[in-house]
Amino acid sequence: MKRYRIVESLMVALIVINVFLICLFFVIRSRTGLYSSGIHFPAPSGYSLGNEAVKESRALCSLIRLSSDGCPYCKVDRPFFIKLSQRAMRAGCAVVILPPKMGDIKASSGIPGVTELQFVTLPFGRALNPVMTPETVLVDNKTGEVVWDREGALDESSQSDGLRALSRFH
Amino acid sequence: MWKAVSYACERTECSGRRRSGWQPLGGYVCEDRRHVAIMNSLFTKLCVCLLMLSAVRLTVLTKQEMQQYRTDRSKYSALPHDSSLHGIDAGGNVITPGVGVDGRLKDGAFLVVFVVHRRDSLRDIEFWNHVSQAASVTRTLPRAQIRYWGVCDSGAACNVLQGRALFTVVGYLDPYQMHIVAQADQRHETLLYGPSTTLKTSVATATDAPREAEQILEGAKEGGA
Repeated sequence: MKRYRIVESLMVALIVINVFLICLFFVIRSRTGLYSSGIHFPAPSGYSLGNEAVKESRALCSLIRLSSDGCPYCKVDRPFFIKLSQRAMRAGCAVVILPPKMGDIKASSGIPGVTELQFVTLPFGRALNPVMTPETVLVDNKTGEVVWDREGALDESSQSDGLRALSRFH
Repeated sequence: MWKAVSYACERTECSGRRRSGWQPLGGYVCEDRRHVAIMNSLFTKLCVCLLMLSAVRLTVLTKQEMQQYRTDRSKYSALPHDSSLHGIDAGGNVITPGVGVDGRLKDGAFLVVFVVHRRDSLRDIEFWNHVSQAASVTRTLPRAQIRYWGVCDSGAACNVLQGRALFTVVGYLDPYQMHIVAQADQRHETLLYGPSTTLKTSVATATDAPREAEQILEGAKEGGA
């Protein structure tokens, strides 16, 4: 009986440890990466590539893309981004392309309906972490929360993740 | 015998201590205690082993995630030394601090970049006006050698205050530079860029204007450009 009790207690302790570790794992995971939970994105606004003022978008969501002319991966994943941006526009999202630094994008991307910003406000600059290109971030403009993000080039799998995330705005 | 009848045995074999959970309603058939005991013991051991394995695996995963978190924090929280000093001023024009052909700020100037908070914009403007005046009074460096950019935390909302400010009010910066300024603001720091447009130092924002000016001048004096 005593042995049974010990084993029972051991199992309970192990279950508690496992549950604690699972919770801890997800808490840490939510804080790693460029866009961890707690980041609040304002709707994008600023100045365009042609140095014209761009007012804050009133769209439901924003698909934000950090890209650069000198970034080969940005060219490789362009077809995926185009598909994602078309779906985003159909869902009522604003699609914004930004270079990390002024001059990193010289000419327009040529994607219709896309806003190209060159200068941003401080709250937007705080939320955006321009440490790599490409970065693709989907933001819910109502809450400012990052719904989905991809650090690095898009591929089939990340594109479908992005499309799935976009489906909540339909 | 228990092999032949599988999980059942005769009533007589169950005469020992019974556990109510094992008995079917109204029946005289009970489970073979020896078999159940063996199975129970096996399942218990298996459960304990699996729980231990999962605890070990989860510990490893959590440790890896923690390492990643620490790496990310140290990587992304450090202020980069390079810069991209382009912005939009209160008039809506693109501004740069004035870089010569040699890629250095003209006149060997320094650039102080800080945040003007819209909530306390008047107080901030007054404070930084005092800082720039105090820095010029000490004459450690000629006045023209320190330029000041006050980055508004609400875009164009501070533009109307340009007339009151002795420094350049900037509403927008490029994403890279704006992220650095925002990081510094979160730490209550002011950025000091040297003539080579690299970050010379970040100075803790003081509450006292002469003290802030002193810190900026000290930062400008230390080391090279």
